[in-house]
Formats: sequence, structure tokens, C-alpha cells
Amino acid sequence: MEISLLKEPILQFQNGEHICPRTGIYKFGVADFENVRPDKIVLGFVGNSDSIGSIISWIKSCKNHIEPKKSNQPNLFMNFPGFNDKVAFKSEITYDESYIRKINNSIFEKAKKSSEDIDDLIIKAVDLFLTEIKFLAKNKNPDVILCVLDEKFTNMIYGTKNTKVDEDDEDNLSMEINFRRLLKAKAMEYNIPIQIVRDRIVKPAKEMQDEATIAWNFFTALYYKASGTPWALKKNANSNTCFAGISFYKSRDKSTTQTSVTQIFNEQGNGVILRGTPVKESKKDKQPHLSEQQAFDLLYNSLKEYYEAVKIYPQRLVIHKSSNYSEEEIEGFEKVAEKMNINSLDLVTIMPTNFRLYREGNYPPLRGTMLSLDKQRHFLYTRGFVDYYGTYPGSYIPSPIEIRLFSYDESPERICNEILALTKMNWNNTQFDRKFPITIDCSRNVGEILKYLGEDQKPQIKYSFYM
Amino acid sequence: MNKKKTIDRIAELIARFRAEVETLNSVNLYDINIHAENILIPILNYIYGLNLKNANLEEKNYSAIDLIDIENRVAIQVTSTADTEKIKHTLEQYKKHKERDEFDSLLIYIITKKQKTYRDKKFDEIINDEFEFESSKNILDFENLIIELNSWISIPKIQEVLDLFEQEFTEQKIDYRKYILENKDKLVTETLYPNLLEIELPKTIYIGTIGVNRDEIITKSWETKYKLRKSASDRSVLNRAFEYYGISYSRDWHVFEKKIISFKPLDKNSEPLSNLVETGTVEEFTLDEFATSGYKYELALSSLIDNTIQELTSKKEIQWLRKERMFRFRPPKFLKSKKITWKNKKTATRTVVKEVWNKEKTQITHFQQLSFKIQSFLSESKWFLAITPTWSYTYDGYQAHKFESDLITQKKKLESNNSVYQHFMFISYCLSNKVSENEEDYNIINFKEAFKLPLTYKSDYGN
Repeated sequence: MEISLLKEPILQFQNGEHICPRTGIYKFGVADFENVRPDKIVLGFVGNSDSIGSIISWIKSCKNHIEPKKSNQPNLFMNFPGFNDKVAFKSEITYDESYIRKINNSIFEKAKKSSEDIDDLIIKAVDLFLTEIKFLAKNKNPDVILCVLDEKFTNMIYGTKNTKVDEDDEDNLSMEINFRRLLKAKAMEYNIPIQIVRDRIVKPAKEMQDEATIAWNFFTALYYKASGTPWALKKNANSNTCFAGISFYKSRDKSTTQTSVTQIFNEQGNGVILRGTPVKESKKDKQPHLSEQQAFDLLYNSLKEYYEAVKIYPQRLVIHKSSNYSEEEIEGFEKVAEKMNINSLDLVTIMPTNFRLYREGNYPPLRGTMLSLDKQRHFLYTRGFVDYYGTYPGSYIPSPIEIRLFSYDESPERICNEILALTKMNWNNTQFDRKFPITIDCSRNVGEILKYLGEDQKPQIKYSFYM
Repeated sequence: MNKKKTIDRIAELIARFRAEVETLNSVNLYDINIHAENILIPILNYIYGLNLKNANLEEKNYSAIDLIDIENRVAIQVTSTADTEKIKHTLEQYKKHKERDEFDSLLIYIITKKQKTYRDKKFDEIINDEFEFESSKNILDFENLIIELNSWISIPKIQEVLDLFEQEFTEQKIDYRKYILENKDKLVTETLYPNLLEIELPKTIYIGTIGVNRDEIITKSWETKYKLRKSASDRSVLNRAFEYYGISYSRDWHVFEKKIISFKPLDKNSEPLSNLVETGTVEEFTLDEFATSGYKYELALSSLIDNTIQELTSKKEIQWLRKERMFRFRPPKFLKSKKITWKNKKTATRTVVKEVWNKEKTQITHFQQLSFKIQSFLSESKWFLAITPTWSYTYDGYQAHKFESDLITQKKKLESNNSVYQHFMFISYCLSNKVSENEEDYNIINFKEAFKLPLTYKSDYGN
């Protein structure tokens, strides 16, 4: 049993490095500054008139500096330097009246009246938004479309209706209907990433994040969705490494068949997402497993897509999976590595665990604390006390993640270091202590949305359509 | 790799370590000796079959020694200085602090190279017959390790020693040690406590074919309130067999491939469980043999351990909740709060069942009960138990409160790292010690002391 502390991974920006995404962007500029990048982001807007109005004036106000929340932990809350062409992102928002598509209150009221139940209303509301998204996509082609939800509407339709399914009663299977997932899935065919935004962010309530943090998170996500790279992982070696997340999602009728999906990321956070074929749950460990052929096809096709996107094959591949590897899966993945001349392959399982570490005093262990039980089993605290923030930004004691190495060419320390680094590659959030690496986090988001997509519909390959 | 090559490689790594020590000592970085202690623990433990721990981690302050094995009564001083003066100083301290009373042997391990000879007479003056010490036997260095290894016949065992060395001498580890030494002033060392206990199990596992009359037990159950189906699981049928054959009930067995496995001797007539197996079918296996036969055997053994822990906790007034898969402290027969006296650093009492009253203090609305989940698992031929404390809210000690999950969330939000650690230590205490005076003995399963792991790091932001 061995314990060590991994250093907070460093992120790469235009002309400097830092551990914190916000400080990095502010001090050193976005990572893709020298490349083709979204220095002007054309936005489309869909929503009711009032909500769009207040979001637009909020976006305008965000051109300027926003004060940080007052706190004893100065690094936890940072001021927002303003979204403009002079500082930080050095990018601007543009649009004109023709990019604003309003959904009249009367049309929405009509939809409400004619709805059978809340699920029906969700489907109708999604259609209202889609009509306008389609118009914007065909006629104006903005970089990102903001779907603005007013608070009353949000309260009505947000959240998942998810009644328990009695397994013996097949006729009574309920389908979950979720506005966000349904809208993202249906909007995919118009090829423009959408961002759903609630109009209440304009005046955040006490229980919400502070103004500066909201702005940081909003504009970072927007920049990424407009094909920008806000920050990248600091490259460790000259080798070209790729991280693949492999996961499964259940269809909405909760049957035991699950569909496989893979996401490939490189150090820049660029990558592809690919849907595989349905698989049956194994009776042995109650987990879905790919056959050798399925494993081969899924990884092989993903890497081919990845090559199409970035024009380079990885030399090293790390696979993150949320369940154990079967012999057949290992065979399949190893064959792909051999065929594609990938000379280093690590097969890693990342899952929740009952294991805990206690520290003296009131704070939990530091983020980055790694306990190795043996060569194969490691526990990593990705959430915990963050030295840079001077606190543990969470409630109740955090739990580590369990990392199992099924076969590995690189050292366990390096593999865990990379996992810690990948927890920072989520562009929905500029606080860097996410629990799971983007490979696993992404698979959840992707699965949730893909299950709303018809089998004949082709999923988008970019993560911006799922986040 | 053959024996000679393996031992040569070990010798090479030891030489590398000596070089590392000598280089650092030459620039006055003497703290490498502290690292040496930690590096040597697994190696000496493996080679000499000891159970050494770092003495610095013990609450008691040991001044002359670095490593201790309480069970085997062995104390070791690790040093890079090989001269007579240093040995004399160690012996004086050892004697002065009465550490000789706790141990039978004092060994001095030199991480550089010991002198060719020492004059024992000088040592005898200090020892004054109060304890035994002979320089030829009690002063060791790497050559002693190599001699010992050369006497071994088993190559896999020697290979294991090499693996231990290789782990300690990767470039990364050497760089890390150097980094720590160079940044000594900026470093913080703290102790972390995993929620794990090492499990001590019997060496033997017994396996016997189920020998009960299944059909009869099922039909008989139809005369009672709890009726078994024809398709009932073997465990359900066996559970009823105790009553059917009139034997006292216990939980410490598991059904595996139509056989019963247990740590209890299924072939002894005096053992009640022997009534459930076919006579003459019982086989014995060592734990290692069984666990390494395949993954499903490991899982079966893990289930048997869980069931054995259930039997242990049943003696301690701790309920096993099958559906929730957790343990919960049971309230007294006359429904009220319950406290247990325990000892960590100091003796204290802890409320495991607490009455919760309404605002007007006229009525008990519900009970709050300390609970925990467990998970047993195998790592490098040792079994561990992970214990996760949680809470349970009931109306009467048994029936769940309708807002139980909200109440648990509320409670957990208020709990700091330290309070959860205290719960863990308390539960560990209860598993290893008698909770009440009249608790029945149960010695099939035991637990070692909780782990303490030192972690040294540099705080970049001073928080």
C-alpha cells in the first residue's frame, strides 16, 4: 500500500502555463490564439421576446469587467475580465436583428393548452424551438444558437420525468422525456451547436453561482462550441497520445440492450464521438461487454474518424472504460492497436468506490492524493482539498475514484496523472476539480443525448453538440 | 531469470541505493536515512518474515529505534553510519529508554557498509548483561541480505524480493526522494488513514456437497407462515434446514456450485453445519489455493467473508439489512437510546442509537442509528475490508422513516472529514473488541489495526 500526492496538472495557454483555467486565460490568452479561431462568434437567439432581451443586455454587460464574489479564498472566485477583443479570450460576440427568432407567448400558450400532459408539452416546446433553429441554420448559419428559456417555462418543463418501471409489466414501460436532451438530439441535424441558457442567470439568486463565475462558464463553453480551444493539456512528451472513453447507454425503454459509444480526445480536447452497435448485458457480471469483433470495429472506426478530423494517428492510446474488460474486449482492442501501429496501449477502468482516506482535521485529503493498493488497483482523489483554492469546494466528504489497470505500458503514476489532467478538460466548467475525467464525463452526456436520437439519424462527431 | 541473475540484479540495486545514500550524505542531506526506513520495511518483512512498522508512526515515542515488530518483539535501528561510536550510542539509548523491555532482539541495519569487525567488549560494557547483542549477529548490512537470499531455494520468492527492490528504484522514485530532500523546509508531512482493515482469516476453507432433503424442507415450509417455492434458492432452503433439523442457526457459510463452503470444520460432528453436508464429501483447501483457482472462487470467498462478518456482528447487536446491504446498530429491547464505550486515543462513549424528540419534547418521533457498509476484497494475497459509515433513520429501530434519504443527506452535509473518521475508528473498534460484557466469543475472523500512512508533500500555495 503506497500513498503519494500528484501535482496539480498544468494547462497550456497562448503564451504561458497555469493550473487554473481562468487565471490562465486572463494572464496568458486562449490556447488557440495563433491558429484559426473564433475571434468573432456569430450568435443566433431563440426564445421569447423578454428573455432574449434580458440575455442580450447581459451579454453586452459582460463585455466589461465583473467583480469577483467576496471570499476568504481569493483563487476560488475570480473576477471576469470581460468578453471583448482586448483581453482574455480576445473575441467578440456579433449578431443582428435577423439572428433573433422569437417564439411568441401566445403560440406557447396555445401549445400548453393543447398538451395532454407535461411530456406532450415538452415535445411540443422542442418542436417550437426546432422550427426556429432550422430557420437560422438554413438562412443565417450562426456559430452557436442560444436557446433562451424563461424561468416560468423552465420550472414547468425542466427535469426528467422518470417513473419507476415495473419489470414484469412490459406494456407499461415509461419513456423518460427530458427537454434538454430531446432538444440537443433533434437539433443535431442542423449542424450548429446549441447552448441552452436560462434567463435567470442575468440576476443570479443566492443559491446560484456568482456573476463572475457564471460569465466565466458561459463564455468558455461558447468559445469551445464555436470551435475554439480555450486551454489544452500540457504536452508531456513528444509522443502523440489519445484518450478514448468507452461506455454504454441504455435505450429510453430501459431494456437490457445497451449501445456502445466511444469518444476520442487528444491533448487539445479535439476529438470525435462515434456510436457503436447494441450489446447485451453479460449474465456473469451484469455489465455490458463487447464481442471481440464489436470491440475491434468500434475502436477501429473511431480512430479512422479521428484521423479524418485531425489527420494524424496516435502513437499511444489510453482507453478509459467505466466497467471491467472482458478477454474478448482486450483481444479486440489489442488487434486495433496492432493494425494501426499504435505502440503503446493502456486499458484502464475508472469507477466509483467505497474506499476512503481520512485526514486529520476537518478538511478531506488533497485533490491529487493517490493510493496504490497494488500494481493494478489505485484510488485517486480528484475532488478534495485544493491547495490553490485554499479550501475543499464541496459539501460532505468526497469519494475518490477507483482506477484499475488491466494492461499497461506506461507507469501507473503517469496514467493517474493523465486522468487528473483530464478532469480539467471540461469546458462547461472553469472550476477545475471535476470528479471524473472528460473521457468518462463526456460518455455520460453523450449517452443521455444519443438515446433520443433515431437509429437512422447520424450522430454528430463533435462534443460541442452534446455538452 | 535464473537464481544467480536475479540475485545479481538485487545486488546491483542495493549498490545503487548505497550510492544514492552516499551522494546525498556528502552534500549533507542526511534525511535519506528516513526514506531508507520506509524502503526497507517491505524488504526486511519479506526476507525475514517480519511485520515491521515505522516506529515514528506509533503514538509512543521510541528514541533509539526506527522500525518495530511488536508481535515478534524485534526492534531495528537503520543508520548510514557504520562506526563503533554510532553503535555504542544506539545501545546506550536503547538501554536508557528501557526499550529492551518491549523487545527480545535489537538489530542495527547499516545502509552503507558495515565494518569488517567490531569489538564486542566495548558493547558489553554498555549492555551489562541486560539484553543480548552480538555484533556478528545483530549488525546487518546488504551482504547479510544477499547471503540470506542465496540460501533460498524458491526462485519465485527471490523474484518477489527483486520486484520489491525494482519498485523502489525506478528513476521516478529516486528523483522523488531527491526532490523531497532538497525541499525539506517547504514540505509538510501528515498522516492519512484509509478506511481499510486487513482481515485475518483461518488458513483452511472447508467444502462439502449440500446434503439436505430439499423437497421435504420445501413442503414442510408450507405448514409455516413463510412458504418456500419449489424454485427457491439453495441458500433459502438451507436457511430453513436449521429449523428442520433442529440445529442452532449461523450465517457463516456460503453456497458455491451446489456446495457449502465455510471456515468451520464441516467434517466434525460437533460442528452444527456438518448436518447440512453429505458425509464423506468434505474437502479442505488452503485459502490461497482456493482464492487463486479463478475469479469466481475469489468472489465466492469474498461472499463467505461477508457472511462470516454477519455472524460476527450478530453477536454484537448489529443487524444486517439484506435489502439495503448494510449493517445497523440495533436499539435495546426496551426501545431507547444506546451508547457504547470504546477506546481510540482516550476512552469515550458514542451514541449508536439516538432518540429524536419532537419540538415540544412530548414524543419520540424517530431514531437515528449509526450504520455502515462493507466490501471485502483481495489484494496480493491479503484480504481487506473497506468500511463506509452511514446513517439510518427508523420509527422503531427497524422500520425506515419515510424521509430517510433526506434525513441522511442533511446529517452527512454537517459531518466533517474528522467526524467520519471517528465513525470508522469506532466501527473498527466494535469489530475487533467486545461491545458488551456478555458478548459471546467468536474467533473465526479477526482484524488487524487500522493503517496509518504518512504523506509528504510541498504546499505550493501555503494552504
